[in-house]
Amino acid sequence: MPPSDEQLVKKFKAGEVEAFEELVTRYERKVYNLAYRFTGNHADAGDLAQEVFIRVFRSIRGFREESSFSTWIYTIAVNVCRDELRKRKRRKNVFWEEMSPSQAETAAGRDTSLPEEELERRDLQQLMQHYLRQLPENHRLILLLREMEQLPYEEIASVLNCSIGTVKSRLSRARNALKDIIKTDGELF
Amino acid sequence: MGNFFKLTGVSRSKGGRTVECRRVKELLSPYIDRQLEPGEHEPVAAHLETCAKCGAEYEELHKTVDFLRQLPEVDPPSNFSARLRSELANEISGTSLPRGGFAAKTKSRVTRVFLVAAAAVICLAVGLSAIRYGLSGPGINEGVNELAQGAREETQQFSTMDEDSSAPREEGVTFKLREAPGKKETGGIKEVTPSKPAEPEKSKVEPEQSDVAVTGETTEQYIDVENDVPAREDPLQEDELARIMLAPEGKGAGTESSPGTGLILTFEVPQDEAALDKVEDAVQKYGGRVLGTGESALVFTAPPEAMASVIMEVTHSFAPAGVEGINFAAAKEYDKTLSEIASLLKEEKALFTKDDPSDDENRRLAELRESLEQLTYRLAELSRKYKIKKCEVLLYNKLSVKEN
Repeated sequence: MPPSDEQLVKKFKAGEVEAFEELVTRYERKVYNLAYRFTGNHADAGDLAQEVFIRVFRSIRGFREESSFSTWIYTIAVNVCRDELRKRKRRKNVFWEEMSPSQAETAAGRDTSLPEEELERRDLQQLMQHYLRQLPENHRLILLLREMEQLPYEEIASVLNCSIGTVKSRLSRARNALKDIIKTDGELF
Repeated sequence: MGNFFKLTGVSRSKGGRTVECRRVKELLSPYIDRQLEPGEHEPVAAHLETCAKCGAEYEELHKTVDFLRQLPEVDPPSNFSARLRSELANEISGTSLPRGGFAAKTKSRVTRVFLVAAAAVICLAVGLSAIRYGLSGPGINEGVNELAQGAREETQQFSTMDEDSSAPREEGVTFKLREAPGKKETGGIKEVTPSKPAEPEKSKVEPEQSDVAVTGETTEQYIDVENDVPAREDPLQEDELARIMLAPEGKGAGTESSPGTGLILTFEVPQDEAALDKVEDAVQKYGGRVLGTGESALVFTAPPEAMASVIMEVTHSFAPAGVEGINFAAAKEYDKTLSEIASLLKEEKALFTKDDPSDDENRRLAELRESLEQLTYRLAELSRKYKIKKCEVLLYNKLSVKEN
């Protein structure tokens, strides 16, 4: 049975450096995906994910293990995303789009060799990313944590440092806001 | 059900919706997640069965949630893992941990672990790259093969705007235009010279050199990852990576204290002798130094002020694969400039090699060159401003090249 995250943290603190590599391996995709959904493009996602792991490395010795490692790393990831957005707002420079619609179309493959199902999946991907970008930061983050990362309400509350009641109400507002955007667009329903 | 709605009261509102409807709407989200308080679930379910409007609302909200949940994970770019580990190795090597004891031991060992991990991932990335780009081969830029012939011969081929090397050079980058064989008009942007003469002496160049990283197999020199000095022992395969990733200035992309650093520029170059020669020639021409060439990449350094020229020259033959860095604005700006240059160069080359160009095409050629000149100045400015520290020249795997 593979060691738990918490066991790996302990091992790393005790000097077993391979344990840190294992933690990175376990979380790199998750963190990358969170960053990608938040920023909407690969270049930013890669940079933000790197920043998350650098912060994790810098502070892991001070991690008191009062929460799970998973909660802790998501907290760092959310903070990195927020910090970056704040910096950009100051510079009036928000995240840029990954691709123009025509590029996206080419890349996402108006490739007729792809099965219809795959094309639809890619279309949905593009479309949802487009809708997510229209949401305010807080709504986007809570949706990512709940729907994409599938965190329980309690863990979301810890990550966002708020009460479970706030998680419920914010999630409800975020879902409804997204639903309204989808409805207005008229593509999906 | 009675108790639940008694709390809120049931009365018809102006829009035909009841207070009950409004209350249910508030609860739909936790209802989807089965996160309602005890006693709330049943009344909501019952209301949804009887109220068509709320039922429809619930369906839409549920679909919205499903759309998100159905989205597959995105695959990070093939070089993400390697780059992440490389940055972590840089971070670890740059930490100011006290020497000796647990901290120093940890630093050294963590660094090694990450280098080994990065090596594995880079090999994979190169393999994938070979598959993706397998159809391109050497010779994709046949029109510029003369590049490989060396700086002296090359210079002689061109009629230049700035032939006299003793004349003071303008600040920035100078274009030299070549004379087309058999044509009277000049054409083909061929050479970019740095604002300062390249300084080949190691002792002068080295402190200012930018690090250009390319993975490889050569192990002629081993850098102790902790002390950053050459050592003879333990010449393992990751040593080359150690040299690449933990180069003296390699504090890692994106440290807040040095926003001008950390851009990583990537080219994808086929792994064949002619292609490697082109890159090496470009490096040497501007005072850079090739540190080593391996299976999958090549490492070189160049003085910062010459980096734009080296990059321009490599861009002339090989499309840049992108720029990354924590300094987003810088990376974006650099990437944009480089992409524009690559695109204009392609057009310029097509027009230049045309046998019987029309007047319009000649005019367009002149316009292109003017734009290219401006963009190259811009690139030089950006290179100086952001001091490109790393330039990864990933080589296509041998499998992607014609067998020879």
